[in-house]
Amino acid sequence: MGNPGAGLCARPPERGFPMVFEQIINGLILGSTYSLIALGYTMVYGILEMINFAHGEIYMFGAFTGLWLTLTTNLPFVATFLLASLAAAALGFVIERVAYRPLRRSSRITVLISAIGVSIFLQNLMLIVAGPQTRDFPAKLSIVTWHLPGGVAFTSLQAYILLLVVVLMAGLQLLVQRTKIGQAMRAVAQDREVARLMGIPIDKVISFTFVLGSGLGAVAGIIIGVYFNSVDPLMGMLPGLKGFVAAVLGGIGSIPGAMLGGLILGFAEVAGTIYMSSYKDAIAFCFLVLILLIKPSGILGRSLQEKV
Amino acid sequence: MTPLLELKNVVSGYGSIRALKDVSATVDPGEAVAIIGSNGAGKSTMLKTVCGLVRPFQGQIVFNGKDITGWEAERVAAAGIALVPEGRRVFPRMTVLENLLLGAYTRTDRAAISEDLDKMYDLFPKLYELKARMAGSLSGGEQQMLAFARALMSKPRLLLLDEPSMGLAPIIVSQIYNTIATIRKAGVTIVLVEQNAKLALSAVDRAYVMETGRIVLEGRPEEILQDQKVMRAYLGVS
Repeated sequence: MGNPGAGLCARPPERGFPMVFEQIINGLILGSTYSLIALGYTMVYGILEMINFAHGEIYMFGAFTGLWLTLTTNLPFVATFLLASLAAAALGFVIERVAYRPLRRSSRITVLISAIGVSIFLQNLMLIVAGPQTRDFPAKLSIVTWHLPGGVAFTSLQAYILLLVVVLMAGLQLLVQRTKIGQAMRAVAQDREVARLMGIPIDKVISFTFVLGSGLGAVAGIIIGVYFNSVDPLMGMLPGLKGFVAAVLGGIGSIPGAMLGGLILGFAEVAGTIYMSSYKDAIAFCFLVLILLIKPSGILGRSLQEKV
Repeated sequence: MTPLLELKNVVSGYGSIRALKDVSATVDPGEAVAIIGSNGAGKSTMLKTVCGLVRPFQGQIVFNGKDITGWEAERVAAAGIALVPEGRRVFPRMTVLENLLLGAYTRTDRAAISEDLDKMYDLFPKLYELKARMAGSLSGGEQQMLAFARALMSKPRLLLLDEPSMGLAPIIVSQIYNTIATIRKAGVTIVLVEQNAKLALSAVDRAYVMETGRIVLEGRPEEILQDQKVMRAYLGVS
């Protein structure tokens, strides 16, 4: 029940322009959360050439931590948001240390199995700790609804979410392109051995990448938890897979690709919800099959031959 | 004189393969030393072992008075050893300038870094023209210049060159060797690995000849060149 699309049909769709507008906003929000998830996959893949299949559980963990902080403390929502993202970032750091780093010299399939193991472990841990029921997420936010001319409604929550995502993506681009750690990340992604020869501490760069990707994934989890007012231990499964599809769609390893792939997938799903809502979740996987058939390197990805 | 670099009975390789079998060698400060030998003799493995990309099974490596045996590559780099890798290996999707700055990654002296950047542009004027270009779009010769400059940006005490002439046109190769001569004059200690023995011997003070993981001869270039038997047997020169 925790899957993001569920809430999309909560309100009876109005006809005409207001409905189209509302769906565009929904598509943007859903798509940008897929983008945030996809960034975690794509950055980790860029650096380690592995798919971190526990990423969806980090998203879930972020949402739960946010909920827990909301219920047990009086912190303002911004602080809750920040702390929950940091907690999930720390979880990402620990997962890499415990489950992936000892396998650095093992075959890829071994690391993949370890990732799936972590994913199952975290789901079940949360089932034990929090129970299987879906919970509300009563965010401490005063939400204002603006009624624009033409019957269009727009809430301050939607505005906050979109603003936050824009700021995060712009910040990430700046970080990766302009800062020393960002350059180190790109260097490790392009040639790990030579990056070491430059004196770049690759273990630190790898840890940093996990921390960054996990933080972004947690942000997506909290956004979805608050926006659809629903959190449960298995909520990371489908968005995790869809974030992965978004990363492949945009071109795995490409940061702009992850952003683009997420948005395309979000819009496609929202459009699908209108016309054939019961097949909504299948859309992502149709995209995966199609992109693998037509252009396996993804929209903005490099073909493998280029990688000398 | 205390050597800048000393290998003592080093055994090294990959997995169960021993590419270096009991190698001992020294490099004095300010010296240029060539390591020559045929394909598969263990020359590149020797460089990779020194700079920490390959971990030795046995033996000891001492650099600048410190035992660096088994150090990680990033730590060796910070200690002052730079490698220009075989096949150049510039970061293809980064600009020339970004590549150069990555060379200075372990340094924190900003003012001196930008001074050294100017020095590199003096040494390789072409790189100044190309500084905003993606390194992957450069020609082989330009990439080799960039790989040299990137290594020098770390201000190394010891510069390791792995097959710098490989795959390049003769005119570019002579440019590269002129550059090596210039770098030597600046006082940088050099270890040069080459398959092209005559070329390498023309550029150094001393050389080691390797064959199947062992050093079989050491001497001054003219001594090695005079030893017709060695040249024929180990270097394929008639």
